[in-house]
Amino acid sequence: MATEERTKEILKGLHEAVAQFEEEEAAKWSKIALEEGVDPFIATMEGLAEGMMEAGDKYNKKEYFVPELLMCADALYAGLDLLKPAIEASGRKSEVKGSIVLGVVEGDVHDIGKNLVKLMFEVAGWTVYDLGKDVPLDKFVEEQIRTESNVVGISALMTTSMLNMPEVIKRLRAKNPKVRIMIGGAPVNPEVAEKYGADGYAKDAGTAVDEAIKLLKMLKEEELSKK
Amino acid sequence: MQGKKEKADQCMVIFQPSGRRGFVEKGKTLKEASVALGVDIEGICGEKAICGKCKVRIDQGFFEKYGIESSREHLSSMGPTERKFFSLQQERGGYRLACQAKVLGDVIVFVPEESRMGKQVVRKAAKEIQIELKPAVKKYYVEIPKATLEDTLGDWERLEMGLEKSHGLKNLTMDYQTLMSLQEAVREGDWKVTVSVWHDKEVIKVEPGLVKKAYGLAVDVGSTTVAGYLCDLTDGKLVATASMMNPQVIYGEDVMSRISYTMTNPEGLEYMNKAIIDGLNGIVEEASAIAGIKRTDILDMTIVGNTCMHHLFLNIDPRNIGRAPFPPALHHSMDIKARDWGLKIAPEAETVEIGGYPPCQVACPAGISGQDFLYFIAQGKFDEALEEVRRAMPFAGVCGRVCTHPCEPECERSRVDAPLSIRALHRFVADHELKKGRPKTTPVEKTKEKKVAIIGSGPAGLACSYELVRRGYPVTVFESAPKAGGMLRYGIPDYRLPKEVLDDEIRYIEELGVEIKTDHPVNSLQGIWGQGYQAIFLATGAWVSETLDLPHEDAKGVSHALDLLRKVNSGEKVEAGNRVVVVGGGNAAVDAARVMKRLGAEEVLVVYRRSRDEMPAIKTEVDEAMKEGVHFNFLAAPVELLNLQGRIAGLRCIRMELGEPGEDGRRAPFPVKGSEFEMETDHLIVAIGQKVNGKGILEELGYSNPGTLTVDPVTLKTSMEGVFAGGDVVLGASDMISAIGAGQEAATSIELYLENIDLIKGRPAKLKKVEEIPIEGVDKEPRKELPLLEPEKRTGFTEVDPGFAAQLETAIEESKRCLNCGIYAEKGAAETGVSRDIGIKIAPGAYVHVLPIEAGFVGADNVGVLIAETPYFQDSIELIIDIGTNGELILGNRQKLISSSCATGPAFEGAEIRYGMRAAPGAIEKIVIDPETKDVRYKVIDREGWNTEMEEVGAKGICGSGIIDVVPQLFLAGIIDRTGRFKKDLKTPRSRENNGEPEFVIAWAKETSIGQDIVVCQSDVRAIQLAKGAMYAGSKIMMRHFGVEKVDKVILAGAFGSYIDKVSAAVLGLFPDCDLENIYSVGNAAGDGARMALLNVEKRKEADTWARRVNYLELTLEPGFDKIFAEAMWIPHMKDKFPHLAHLLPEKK
Repeated sequence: MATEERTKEILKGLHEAVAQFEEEEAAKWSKIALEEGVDPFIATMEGLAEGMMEAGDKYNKKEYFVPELLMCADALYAGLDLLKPAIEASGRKSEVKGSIVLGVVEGDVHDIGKNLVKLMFEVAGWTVYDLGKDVPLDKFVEEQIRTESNVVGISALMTTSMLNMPEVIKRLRAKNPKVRIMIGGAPVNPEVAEKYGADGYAKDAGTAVDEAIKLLKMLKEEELSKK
Repeated sequence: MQGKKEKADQCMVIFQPSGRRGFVEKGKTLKEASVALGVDIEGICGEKAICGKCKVRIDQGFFEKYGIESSREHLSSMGPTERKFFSLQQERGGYRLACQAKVLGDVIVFVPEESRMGKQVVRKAAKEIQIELKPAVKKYYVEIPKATLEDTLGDWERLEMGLEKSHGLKNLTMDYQTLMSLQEAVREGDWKVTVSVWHDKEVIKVEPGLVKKAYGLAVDVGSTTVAGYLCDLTDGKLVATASMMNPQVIYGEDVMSRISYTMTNPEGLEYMNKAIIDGLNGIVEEASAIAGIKRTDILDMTIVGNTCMHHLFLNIDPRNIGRAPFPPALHHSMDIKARDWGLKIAPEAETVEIGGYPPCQVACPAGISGQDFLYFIAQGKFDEALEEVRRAMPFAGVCGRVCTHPCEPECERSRVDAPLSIRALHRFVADHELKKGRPKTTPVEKTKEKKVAIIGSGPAGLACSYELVRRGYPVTVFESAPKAGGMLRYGIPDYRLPKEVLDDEIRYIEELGVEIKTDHPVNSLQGIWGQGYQAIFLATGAWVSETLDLPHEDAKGVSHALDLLRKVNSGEKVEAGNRVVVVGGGNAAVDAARVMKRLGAEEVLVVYRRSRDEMPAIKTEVDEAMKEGVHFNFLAAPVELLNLQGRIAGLRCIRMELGEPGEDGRRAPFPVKGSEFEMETDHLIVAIGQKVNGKGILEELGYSNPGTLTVDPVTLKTSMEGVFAGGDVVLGASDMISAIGAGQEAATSIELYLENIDLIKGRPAKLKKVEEIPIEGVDKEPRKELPLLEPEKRTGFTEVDPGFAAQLETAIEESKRCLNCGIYAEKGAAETGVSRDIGIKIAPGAYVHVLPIEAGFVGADNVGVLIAETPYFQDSIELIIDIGTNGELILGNRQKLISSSCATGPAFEGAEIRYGMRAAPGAIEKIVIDPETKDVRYKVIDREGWNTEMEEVGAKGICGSGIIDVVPQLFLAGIIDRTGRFKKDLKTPRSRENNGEPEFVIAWAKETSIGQDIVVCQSDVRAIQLAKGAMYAGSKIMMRHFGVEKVDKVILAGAFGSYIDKVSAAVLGLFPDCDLENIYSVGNAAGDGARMALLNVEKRKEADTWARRVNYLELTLEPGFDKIFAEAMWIPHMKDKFPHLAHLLPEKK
């Protein structure tokens, strides 16, 4: 059992490895964590995930760009690959913060942005149902109903495919008026989101999770006020 | 210049076609916004709405691309001052003056060519190309036997046989339109003709005689620029290059936003198709003009463009190439008859375009646009038509009766049959209103303080007051007579101009806020200055009759026409006499004669010293006088007045004959010796001219008795500061429309004077007449004339001409004859029933060859590049990069070819970069940063040398080649690191933070013309990284598929391909490592390919073959694309090695 000081050191190592996108370092510190008996759940949440949060923060400040963020993700996964089996073995379940259906709208095959958003949600402890790219409009609706997710995130990278968004939103609302919908992607901006009737908009992966949390909070408040 | 909306009271303003945009504070004018955003709009009157040079157009709708709703309602409303610069159609088409329109919401503003100050520099210059000549169209000279009674074979069959006999051409077909002109050509050339044959299959043109030269046009339609290359098909030489901004830019900058425009706007495809066809015709016109040929001499045309452009110019719905899996409508090349490439004309005024002005408007001294008001009459919109006339001047009813209508002889319709009845039609709209009753007009708000005095209430004075009151000036008109109107009231008899018409139109001017003081003679200008007026317009007319200068002119029974008419018009009693003789040939003479006839004179004779043709009076008035029984004695002049006890008894005249035309173009009369003769009269009326009264106020202006007052011909300035003069006082006995024109000019001068602006420079530009109006295919339709009152019914002063008033349908029919010559109203043509061929206006029989396309995003332009660079004939492996808004890549050699497309976005074209701009004067095109001092040297387009060598640099932004320079320069100078991130704590004031975002100053505010520092910020670097990463990743994936580690040769093509610094491109990491020696910039290879296809038909076959053989690779489907792309965003790359750049790049840590 590692001392409190040593645990701190290991968590810092994990954190730094992810934030500085050093894949080998992340694997190295994860091994150390397991060897020295650090709780794999704590190593993941307070080490790796915290590092990813910092990366997201740097991305928001424009210090990091897409490549750095993707490499941070690589480092994160390098660590997770080792720590996850240990968490599962321990039988410990993490608290799920929320669930979201994600996809790139029909007619569009650009999914880097969506993948980054997915990653940030996972790190933040959300369950993500990823539909991938070029997703038929009704698929969003079916998946939302199947998974009972509170939030649906739709992405588009082209002005042309973006035009499919209002239709998805319409169909989702028709089936489930309570669902919260957020949209994003290069051609989308807050005005478009408002025009299309989306509940939320995030300009990039760094802000998407916060926006989703905000939407959930609003949803809960609404439900409370109804009661 | 994208920025963040910082405050709620900010609006997004986007200028097109420059693409500059940014947030501006609510309430700023568009002109102020343009200055802040570095867009140069013409204007010299100091934003006072006087010069009218800053015309812009607002484009409406929701623009997905920018996420803004642009609306004309998002600007302050148009005031009367501004309104006067536009026709109603233009106003409805969204035109505004940038200096007047205040921003109240988001807008997209299109700055038309004529309002742009720094014209776009199109960098698609052409290079010489070597190619064997094998054009699709060849000319054959042939002599054929004449048709005779014995040999009656048809012309075509005769030609067919001739072509077979002398040139071995068989199985030819004949273009239908060419057939229609065949007979004429054959006979004109005396059975010797030159025949143009397309692909040795179809005769597309027959010209009389021997014609050696043949021309063809190759066109490259880019998303941003369109370039046309006119070639001589007989020697392959380039004879002219013409280029322009793609007019579709207003609908979206990149192909995706244009496709989405067609999806969200039902008329989107039509608008954009029309825009590009008009643009292509512009290229045809321009290139022909440069080469000095007729556009119909162009016998062939080839065209390339990316798949979206291809669909849009063919009027094919592009929506499917806008979404996965991106299939085009067709891949294959096409041959289309240029003329058939017609368009459907957009039904609403959305596409109003200011081109040339109709000849009627240019000819009118008052600038009334006949075309515009006829357009409304044709639709039965009479109120709008009247409003249109009133934009120019207030006298629709008066002018509609007595104007000398200089517009009608200029009417293009006379080339078909007869001119429009323009005069009668503006009278019609005025009468229509008068009949139903005109509602009282609201006065114009007085926004100006300086008072203006106008002396004289004739047409000049009132027109001037009308202009000034609409511009917000307090205006007072002083009139010495009991009623206003001047010569209109006192010089023109009621049967031509009923007083109620004049009264109503003067009342209208008064209702607008002009104060008219009648019975108010002005005796001294000093007195006016003393009343606080700051400017004076003198329009006192010419009321003094010229005299015969003969003895007994003061005898009883001798009067002067003007005095007589004034008396009659004032209701005074006048003795007509029995035998009246009028001397003179002007309108006053004819009016006096007809008035005397009406007052009961038994016989009225007009004596005129020249012949009828030289009479200055309006021709139709002379005709009517004759019908009414007035006699004329031409070529006679009085030499003596016969006097009987102080009373006129007769007149001795002499015969005249006409000599050569004098300076004024009229033939001068000379007396014939010994030809004297006498005539009796009891009333002699002298009507030989008018002059000014030189006494009183004219003396103050130093008037020296030449008959009229002399003023500056342009500004109407007199010798006294602040005093302007015009109308008859300057022109002598002139006509009302010239007087109105003078009043308008005076108003412009007065406003410029009061606002302290140069009187010459500040004036609006003269209207430019529209060029060449096609009349082919216009059916004849006679001019609608209305019968005048029968002569026997013309008792008293009843109006002779009834006008169209009672015949609405006839007026509408007549208005529909208008050809709508002004370019901006082409849609009017369709609605008024005149059909016009508006395809591509080259030789009517000619074809346009559209090159094939490879895939959704690899279009005919890439095929052009392919056949120009011919990688399929090479052993070495070539990577061809076509840089544009959409980047296209070709990789391979004779073994195999792969193409792909990457969405680079418009960053390299200057968009989405804070200070990015397109290539135009003032754009920074080259940048060097000193690694030690971090100082920046740069070059600006159209300026010789570096910024450090000149005093005034006038930089405005950074264009494509500068953008490609800047990131590697920042990197090599250690300002950013390999990841693209700005380093901190650099010891230079150029490196700083703005709202938490790091930026680097390229040009200090003092070196710019936009008054702010030009910087490159972190987001700019990121946008460039994305674009270049996409190119690099595309190259790498293609190489992987091809199975190679490196390429032998890199070719950079594109709009600004030849301006790119290849070392910069390599260090930036636009493509994988390559020997610098083997990197080439080839310029516009797509255009070169189009030219080759024009000059050699084998190239067209090659294009068809290789367009199919190239393997298109969809990059985003590539496994691991994310990672490849991400790695490629670093500078030059995250992991790849660059041995050929080792000497330039810093050591990796």
